[in-house]
Order: sequence, then structure tokens, then C-alpha cells
Amino acid sequence: MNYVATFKGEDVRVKVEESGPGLYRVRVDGEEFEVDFFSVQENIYSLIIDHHSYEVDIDEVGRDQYSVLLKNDHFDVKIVDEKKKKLAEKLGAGASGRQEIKSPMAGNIWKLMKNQGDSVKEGEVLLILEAMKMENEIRSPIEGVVTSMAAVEGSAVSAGALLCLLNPVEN
Amino acid sequence: MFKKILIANRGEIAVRVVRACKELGIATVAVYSDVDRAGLHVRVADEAYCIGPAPARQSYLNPDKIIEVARKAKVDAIHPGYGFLSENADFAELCIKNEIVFIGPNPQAIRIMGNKTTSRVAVAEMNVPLVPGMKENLRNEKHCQEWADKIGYPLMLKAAAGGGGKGMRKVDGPDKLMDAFRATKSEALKSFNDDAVYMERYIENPRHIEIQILGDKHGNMIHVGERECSIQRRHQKLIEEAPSPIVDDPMRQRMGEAALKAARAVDYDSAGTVEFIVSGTTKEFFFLEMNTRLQVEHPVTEMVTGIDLCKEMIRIAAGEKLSIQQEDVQMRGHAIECRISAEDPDNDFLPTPGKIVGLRIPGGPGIRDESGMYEGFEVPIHYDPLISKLVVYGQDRQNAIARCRRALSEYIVKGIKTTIPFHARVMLNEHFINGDFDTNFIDNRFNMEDAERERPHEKVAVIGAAIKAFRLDQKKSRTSLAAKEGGGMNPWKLSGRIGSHTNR
Repeated sequence: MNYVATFKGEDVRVKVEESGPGLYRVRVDGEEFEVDFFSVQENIYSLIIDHHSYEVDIDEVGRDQYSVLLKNDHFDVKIVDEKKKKLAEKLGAGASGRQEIKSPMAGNIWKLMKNQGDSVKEGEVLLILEAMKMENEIRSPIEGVVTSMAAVEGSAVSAGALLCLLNPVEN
Repeated sequence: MFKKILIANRGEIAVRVVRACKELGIATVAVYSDVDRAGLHVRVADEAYCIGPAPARQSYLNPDKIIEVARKAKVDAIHPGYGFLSENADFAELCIKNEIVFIGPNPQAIRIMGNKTTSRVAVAEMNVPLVPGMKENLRNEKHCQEWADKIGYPLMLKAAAGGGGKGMRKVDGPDKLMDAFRATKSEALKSFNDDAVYMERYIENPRHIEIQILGDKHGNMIHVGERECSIQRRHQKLIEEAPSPIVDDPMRQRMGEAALKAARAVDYDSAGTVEFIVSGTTKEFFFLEMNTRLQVEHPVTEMVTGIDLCKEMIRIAAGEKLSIQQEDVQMRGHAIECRISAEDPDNDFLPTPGKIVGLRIPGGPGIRDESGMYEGFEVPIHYDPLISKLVVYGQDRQNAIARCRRALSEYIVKGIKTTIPFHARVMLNEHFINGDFDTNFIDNRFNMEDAERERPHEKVAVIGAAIKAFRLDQKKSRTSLAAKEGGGMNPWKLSGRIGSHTNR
């Protein structure tokens, strides 16, 4: 299988083949590795690459998105099937459309800083979520307009709950 | 000695107190809110009582409820831990009124030291050095202007009722003074219900170094060395160590004596901590505040002195004399504590409540685990995110850092993000290793350096993620194949047949 890995904004071609039970041949950017990949427990893997042993914590955090913890360093890696990526490019990605802002954690809505119809700048605070004695600012990832505010002041939300919808500013 | 103690707290500190009691042969009573039924402190205590719903005000901060349980369980004493009711003078008095011993100092000491202004007046009388500034509160804008002219810039505005790093503001120049004055006042009113504000000099290169003291009810008092607590994020301590890399014996002696003077100002009669702000440039030290309770970071002092502060505190409350004299106190080796919190260091320290589905606690020589969690424990959203403390000991600072790094590499908490990776990266930072930091280090320098850190393992991360993606894709195609062709065949069976290595 051919994949495109995106790490820190750069694309790298990755090819993965199964060469035996739990053994994989991985080609990254032209370089080839023989990898022994062993699942120790849920989402924790022991990797042996050229006799180097790594304990790696790999979580699938979204579609094609992986959060990797390795030697106490954290990596966000996107792994997309090359065919899918090409198809998406053909269909003209980029028109990202509306953004769903979801709650990163369970908590209580402390205060709404923006309401439906308000325009926001990138990085501006949309609302404040209270959890574990701390006030956490939820900021807008884009410049746009709040098309819908689902969050209600004083109400509890669970992790992943929809807080509001944003439409990007048309350039 | 007491026969039974109630611990009015939760999490790791409640477990710590239970451990001390068990070693002293004292029975323990845990209290818990509705969401803490499965808390570790409930499991390790001899008795347990539910004290109400999740919000702390209705449970851990409810004095009447706790006294009611204490009477029902017939305890001799209450240990408040830290936070919650530990520095509440009214609660200490309520205990006394109910003929229950409050394991802490006399209520008057709590009351005086709990307020920045009254504590400054009290210790100034004992000639303890204070940050140049005022002993009263600012009356109005004119008064504020007069004092600013006297003290000079940069200066600090602080809420009299403040604490925990909240309600203070640095002012760099005269043009920012009035806005800052008004903002600090309104913040103080909002946070502490008291808008009293005072002013003092800003200390360059400020380090936070504190002295542990022990006093008994017979007038004996000793200091037990310092702790360096300058590794903070937004005024919250993250890493503490003992001894401090910048304190030598003569300075330790001077700070210890100043701390004793401060404690004597209130006839201190328990374990307590006198906090100083120390200029890393001039090494001058100034009284900041006194914490009239056991500190989160008390274990580092225990590791280097061999004194069990928690047990000593209980013995003192029971009326016993201090078991150690000043000349017996010696610091040997070096200890470091990392506060492990349910916060995501790679996402602006956002809280990460949730279930711990996997746990590996480090072991081996020189490691002390102070945790309030276990595999299967659900970290609730209602309380402080601290879930555990990793404490390491080494024969010197360099060895302690190396050991800490090793321990952090073994530590695994699955299910929630924690601050473990943050600690691991601090332990690799050159300035930290050299002891070259102040209380602004994490917020300014470290965060910048951390963002630019070398990442030698990124290829391994990509390989790991790609293999995982590959395995997920295979599983998906097998499942859909089975659904299409299997005709009622169990997809799990099928995937079992394709390879006997599915567990790999």
C-alpha cells in the first residue's frame, strides 16, 4: 500500500508491505526499513527496527490522523492512502467550507464570548470552557462568521460535543 | 497518640496521609464525593463516608458535613491535606469546638498567614526581610501614584487576599500604572471577593525558594532545608527539587533563621512552609508568604533529610515533642519531584479528564511513586488535575536528573494525556540541567526552545503510524469482504484464519 504521510506540513511518500507475521517492509522517502511491529496492549506497540527497540504509543485521533508518543516526544502524523489523496485533489479540495468547533474535553460552558452572526478573527476566543478548576479558552482556527452557536452558558458538555459552526471569510 | 483520623481530602495527598497513619498504627477514615466512590483513597482507608455531590463546595469544602462524619466515626483528629479546608481558620476552630484535633497549626496562625497584608505586618515585626513595598493597602489612585514614584519600575501590584499566583500584575512603566491598578482591583474583587491591592518592587530574575519548618506545641521549632520551586507555568509549580542549585550552606542558614522568625511571629506549631522570592542575580531573599499546611512538594524534603514530615505533623498534633533537633537535620543527595497532571502539554495544557486504561509506574532504584490513580480509574472533571507525583532521589543533582529522565521514559499512562512528556523534555533542557532558570523560565525561554527542539525520532513515528494505518485498512477490507462474500460468516473468525498473527 502506498501512503502519503504529512508531518509538520511536509508530505512524504510511504510504502508499507507485509513481509511476514507481524513483519513489515516500510519505504519512507526512498529509505527502506524492516520493521517488527508488536501490539503490546491497546494502542501501545513495541517496534524493532534494525535491532533498535522503540515503545510507541499510537492513537488514531481522527480520520487519517495519528497522535504518536515516542521517547516522550509527541508527533501529529497524517497518513492518507495515496489513491484517496489524488482523488481528493482532483475533486478540488481546498474549499474547506464550514468548520465545526468541538469541545476538546468534558466541562461546563463558562462564558460565551461570541454569538451567532458575530465575525471572528483567527485565534480569537469563541467561548470559555471550565474543567478541573481551570478556565480554558476555545479559540477560532479561522477568520470567519459564527453561523450557529450550539453551546449554552452554564450547561455541561462532553468531549467531542459540537460547540459552534463557523463559515470562513470568502477571499 | 490518636486512634483514628479522618482525612478531609482526596487523590494522592489523601493516600499519602493514609500511608503515614498506617505506619503509626492509626485507623483511617476517608471521605468522598459522589464521583469519587472509586477513588484510591477510599480503597486504601479503613472506613469511608460519602459527603455529598461532586462540586467541592457541597462536599470537600463543606465544614459541617465533614464534622458530622468525624463525630459519627468518632475520630480523634482531622488531617486536611492541602487545598480544600487546609488553610481555613474557621474550620480549624470548628474542629476545636467539637473536641476534634485539627492536624495543623493554631487557627490564629492560619488566619494571620492567610492574608498577605496581615502576614507582612506580622513578619516585619520580627525583622524578616520583605520585598521593598508597602505594608498597608492602596487607598486610591493618588496613593498608588505616590507609592509608584517611591518604589520605581518595574513594580508589582498584588491582591491582598491573593494566592496561588492569582491576582498579581507586573507594571513596566508609569503610562501603564492606572490601567493596571484598576484591572488588578477588579480581578481581586472577582477572584477573592476583596478588592484590596498593594504594591511592591519587582525582583529581577526571581526564583521561588521555600523553607520547610517544623514546630511543636512545646515551643520547639526547626527548619528542615529548602526546596527550589521556580519551574512554574503561569505561577503553578510543576517541578520542585531539594536542595536548590543556588543555595549554599551559609545562605541556607540565613534563610532558615529568617523562616523561623516568620513562624515564631504566629507561634507556629505544625509543619509549615515559608516561601521566599530570591533574586537569582543578587541572591537577596524576601518573605513572600507562609503556607500553613503540608505542601504538595513535601516529599523532596523527606527524600534528602530522611524525615517523614507527614508523620511528624501527626505526632506534633497529638502533643508530642519534635523527635529531631536542629543539629540533626542534614540534607544528603538530591531529590526532584515532577507533578503529573491530567493536562495535555502539547495542546496548551488543556485538562484531559477521562479513564486511565493503561498504566505502568516506573520502578527501580531511587524512585518514589505518590499517585492517587490506578488502571481503570476515571479522572473526574471537578477537581485539580494533579493525578500523581514522581519523586526521584540521586546522590547529586546530575544523577537525580538522569534518574528522573529514566523514570519518565518508563512511565506510561494510557487513556488520557498527561504532563509526562513535558517533564521529560525539561529534563533534557540545557538551562534546566545547569540550574540556570527563574520563575519565568517555562513561560518564556523553555517554550520557545521546546518548539525548536531536535526530533531525532520523527521517522520512527511516521513508520509506526503508517503500519497502524495499513493494519486498519487491512482489517476494514477484510471486514467488508466478509460482509460481501461471507454470507453470514463471522468476520472475526475469518480474520483469525488469514493470519495467526492478528494479535501482533
